Amino acid sequence: MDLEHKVFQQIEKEDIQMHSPWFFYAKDISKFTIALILMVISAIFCGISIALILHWASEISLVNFPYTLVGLSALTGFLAYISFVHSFSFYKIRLSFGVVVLLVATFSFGYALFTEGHAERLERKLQGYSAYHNIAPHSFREHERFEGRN
Amino acid sequence: MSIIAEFENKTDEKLVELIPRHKELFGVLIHRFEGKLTRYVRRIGGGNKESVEDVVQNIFIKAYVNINSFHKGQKFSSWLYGIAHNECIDYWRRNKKHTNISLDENTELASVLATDEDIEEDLFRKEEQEQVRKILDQLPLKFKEVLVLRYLEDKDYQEISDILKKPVSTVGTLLHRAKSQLKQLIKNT
Repeated sequence: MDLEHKVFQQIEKEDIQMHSPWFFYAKDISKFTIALILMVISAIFCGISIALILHWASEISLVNFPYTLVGLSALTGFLAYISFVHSFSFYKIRLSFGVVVLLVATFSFGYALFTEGHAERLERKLQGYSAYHNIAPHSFREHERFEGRN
Repeated sequence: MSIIAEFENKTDEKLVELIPRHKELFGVLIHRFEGKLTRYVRRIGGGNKESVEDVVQNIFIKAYVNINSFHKGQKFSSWLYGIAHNECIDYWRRNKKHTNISLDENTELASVLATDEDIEEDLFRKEEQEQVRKILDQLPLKFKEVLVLRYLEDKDYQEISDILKKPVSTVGTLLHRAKSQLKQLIKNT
């Protein structure tokens, strides 16, 4: 029996049906929706983490919380990327999207590291001044004023 | 005149458009690609005659089921080879202890590759088919696959890129690495 007969025989025997075009549209749309939701979550986390980092950096507060947020943003960004990989067959889109997600995650993580490290150095410096002059500055701005006077 | 005879000289893409309404036209595509896919599967996945036939049959069944996912503007052969590529990978994973590709195929690949770069010298110096076969079997699937698609299936970079769903530049890199690794393996033997 030739291949054509075998294929048609199997199709008839197992009642194999073609998927309708709607099946593929629905599949693409569901994947795209999941990717979009993940992207929105990722963007929210990124936004919150950057806002918090900026806020805390100005107050010279040392917290580890932004790391968790940055981690979450990277994770959701990665998940979004994975779902995009599966929803788009056009690899150029997924490639550029992947690069953007990676850049955002790297930037926010690097920024978090930099600002926290910077804040830590400032606080140490401030504590040094505080001990030397027996002054207890409570904020960065106070410290600046203190620096200005001297 | 039967409908099949009527559409015999239509392009693959035109036939795909008609298949949802005339399922029997799928037979024309089976006839057109049976030989090519059998060769491709044998080259990539190895295995005996029966298992190659099973894989090819599965490829056509999958193509039939998913025929509506074929988009206009795509090349049907690339789309079908894409399915074949996935099936071969599945087969490869299921049967890690794959059998080797045939000696003739390797010799053919060796001679085609020999015209490229300076592998020629090394290959002809060895001139031992058995060694070439062993060397090719040592190559990872991803390298073997690009070599087969490029030199035995005669696909251009764009087609390989569509089949493997990788950018053209990646295909070029893969080919370059495959040839380098092949060259290295030849040197070491």
